[in-house]
Amino acid sequence: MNVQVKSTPHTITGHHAVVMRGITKKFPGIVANDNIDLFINKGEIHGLLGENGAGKTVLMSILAGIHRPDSGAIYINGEKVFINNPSIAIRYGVGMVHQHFMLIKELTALENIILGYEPKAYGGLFIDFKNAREKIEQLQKRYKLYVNLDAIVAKLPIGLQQRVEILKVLYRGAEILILDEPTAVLTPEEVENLFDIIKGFKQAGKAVIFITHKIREALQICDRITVLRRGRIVGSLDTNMANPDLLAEMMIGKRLISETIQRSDITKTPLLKISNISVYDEKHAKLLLSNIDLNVFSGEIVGLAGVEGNGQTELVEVIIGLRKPDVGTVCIDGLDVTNFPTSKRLKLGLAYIPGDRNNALVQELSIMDNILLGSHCNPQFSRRLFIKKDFLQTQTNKLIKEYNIRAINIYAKVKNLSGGNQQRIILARELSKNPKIIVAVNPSRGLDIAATNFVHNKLIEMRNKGCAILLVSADLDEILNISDRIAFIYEGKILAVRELHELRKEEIGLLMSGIRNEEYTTKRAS
Amino acid sequence: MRSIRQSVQVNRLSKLLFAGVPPSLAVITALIVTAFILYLIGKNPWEIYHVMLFASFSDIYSLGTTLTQATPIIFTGLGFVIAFRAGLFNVGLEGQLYLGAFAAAYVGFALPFLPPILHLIVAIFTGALVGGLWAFLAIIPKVKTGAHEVITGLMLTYVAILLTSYLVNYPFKASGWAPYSPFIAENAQLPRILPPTQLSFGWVLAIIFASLTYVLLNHTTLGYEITIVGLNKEAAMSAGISINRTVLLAFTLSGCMSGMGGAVEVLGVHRRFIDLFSPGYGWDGIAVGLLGGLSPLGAIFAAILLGALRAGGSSVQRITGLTLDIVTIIQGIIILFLAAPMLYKHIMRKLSESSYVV
Repeated sequence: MNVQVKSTPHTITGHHAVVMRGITKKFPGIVANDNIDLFINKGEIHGLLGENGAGKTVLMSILAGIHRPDSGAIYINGEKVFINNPSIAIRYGVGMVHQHFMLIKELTALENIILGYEPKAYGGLFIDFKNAREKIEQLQKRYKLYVNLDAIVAKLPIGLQQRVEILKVLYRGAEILILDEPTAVLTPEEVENLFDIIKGFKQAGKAVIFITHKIREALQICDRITVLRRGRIVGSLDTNMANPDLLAEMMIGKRLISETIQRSDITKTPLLKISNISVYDEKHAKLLLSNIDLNVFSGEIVGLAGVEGNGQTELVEVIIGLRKPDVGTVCIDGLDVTNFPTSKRLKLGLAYIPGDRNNALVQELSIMDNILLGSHCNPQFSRRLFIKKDFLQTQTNKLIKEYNIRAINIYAKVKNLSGGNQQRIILARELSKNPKIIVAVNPSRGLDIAATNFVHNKLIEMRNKGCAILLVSADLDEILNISDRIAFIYEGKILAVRELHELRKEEIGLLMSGIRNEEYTTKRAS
Repeated sequence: MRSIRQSVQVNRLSKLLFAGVPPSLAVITALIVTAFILYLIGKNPWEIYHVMLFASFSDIYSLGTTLTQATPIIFTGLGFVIAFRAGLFNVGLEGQLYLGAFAAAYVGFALPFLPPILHLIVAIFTGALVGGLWAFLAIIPKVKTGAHEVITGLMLTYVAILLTSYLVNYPFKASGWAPYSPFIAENAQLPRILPPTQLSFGWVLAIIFASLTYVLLNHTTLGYEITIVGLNKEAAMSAGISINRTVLLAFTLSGCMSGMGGAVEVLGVHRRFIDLFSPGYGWDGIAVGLLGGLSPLGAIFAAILLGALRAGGSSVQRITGLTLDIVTIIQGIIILFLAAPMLYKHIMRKLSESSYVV
């Protein structure tokens, strides 16, 4: 399939609301934006599409004055501007609604909206709430952004909190609105409402930049779409020129599916069996997981692929025992452990590598004390309530050598070690328990290539020993590299489970963004 | 191998020394600041410090008084340390101390038929148990509903002090005008070990329990769980440690220590329960815990220091006419400087900055 990218005229004219030229932004160890050119027309809804870590948010944070680019220039309405901080961005009419709301939850909606831009009365001593309210009510009427202005923000549902955030940006006079993954937290109806509101902005002549990783939404709402991959622009195209296949390929590129790893023979009974798991959110309003079925057999790595925030965290918590499912069962080696506490599950041979190293390590303690974590009640390490320090010392010294952990000695505090060495400690601890089942979440996040290979080789080694491994990762390459089977999760549902060799390339991007193949083909046929 | 072991030992030694730096700095700063205050009110600070030092360590009698003062606050200090290791702030130590003291006194005077050593043991452990129970009452709302232990602990302290006050003023008042309970049976009294001072066998118990607390926190699985929960709850949960169970156990143990402190004070020093007997031993426990660098063995030294200040303070009052409040001032300033390690860093930075500017 050829990717046809319509070239954009590279002249800076008045009809561009925003032009970003040659934007480069580096963070330690990563180039977040690499020489990016972006053109946004006035009165246009412009989609910024890409996977996690493609550089969308960083690029827009530069426009909103949160980051400063290392090089490049920004033009607003044809005029070259220097946006050094968010208040300058606001002065040029750029307003950003962040994925994580920047609201003070204890204050009312009204107080949040005017924060920092309060109209003054009586010689500046008092806030002119009446004036503010009138102004906001006008905005509400015009854009149908209704929300009770006197409600405490903490008590508003997420969808309405988002409206408060949008009103805040409008109140400050934004003409260029940046919405960062605005649909991530919304229910389907709320998404429809939001789209209506966005269309209203377009009619009012405002430019809207819509950051998303969901192909379907980009196609539904945007006039033009720019795709980013690994900090670079892949291309910009009008929506009527785009289709899901094309966008998916632009997003994830041509992936090489490696089949070099020999899979060991698997058994017929699953070591980890998840049946019909459903989990509601706190208010019992939204399903975070619905009817999840997943088996992991001895001697295989099952990759759970999906964009972050689609229920992976909740599913892992259910397996580990940190969250009780509303419906369904979890079985370890044929034993129903749904009502077991975490400690009992760990004793049955479950090992857990959390996505956040801080959930696996106590930074203030030594390597030795961290090696003990989770094994401290194991008779190998303790006898009659007393910890066997001698055994712990020899074991830690052994693991340091075996896993090549670089530290002065076993008493070194974990917080003084590099991320790679910290991850080695977690692996050393979890894998030395000789587990039957390993649940690994983003095990190579933030690691360099050598450390990543080390982690992957260790997991494959464990698989070949007969472990059942569930690999949860936001990094699709990681999943494609070492999984035997891949399950795709989207909005709390498993969309498909595929053997690696029967997975078609073009399918991957679609499944990642929630489009099941048959669904898409029927849509195209009709 | 040998060199590694040596470097480990050096490392540990320097760590120990380093841990002692902030408390020592706090004490020295507090003494300097207090000297300045004394100077301002027209007293000679050196004379007063001399009297104080002399009165707390010069002879057997003053040493005995110092250690007597230190005994209950070692216990409350241990209580503070255990709770703090679990990330909890036990400010209810004073209440737990009062109830532990009363319970021990009750066993002491109401069960005179118990045989000698057993009576003493039952009295001490009842004190610990009741202190622990009071702490349990303060922590259970946190586990069940998330109420903050500082609020519950503080409120229950007032209840405890007033409750014991009622008990000793009405149902268990001995004959006479003062709100005293009857005397404890001789079988339940802690023997005096340094007559004529009031220093009792309770001092030895304090050292023993400080050592036991050290072992508990550093060498047992429970102590390990307490440390993990105090430092990183997410990691604890991932490792299968029950946060609620650990929090309950740590806080209750903390209350037990404080209750035992009250029991030892009553059984060893007063030999009966006296209304409002504590000059703030529970509150001093917080100071002792912090000053001792949150280590059980450090608590012993910190308690001796505060005990010396108290013992010396009464002599200062007798000899120079200055009120005992000066001790409270010194203590307050020590805590202030201890609680503000950032202050030192700030001062150090300012100093280094100014040297660049010049």
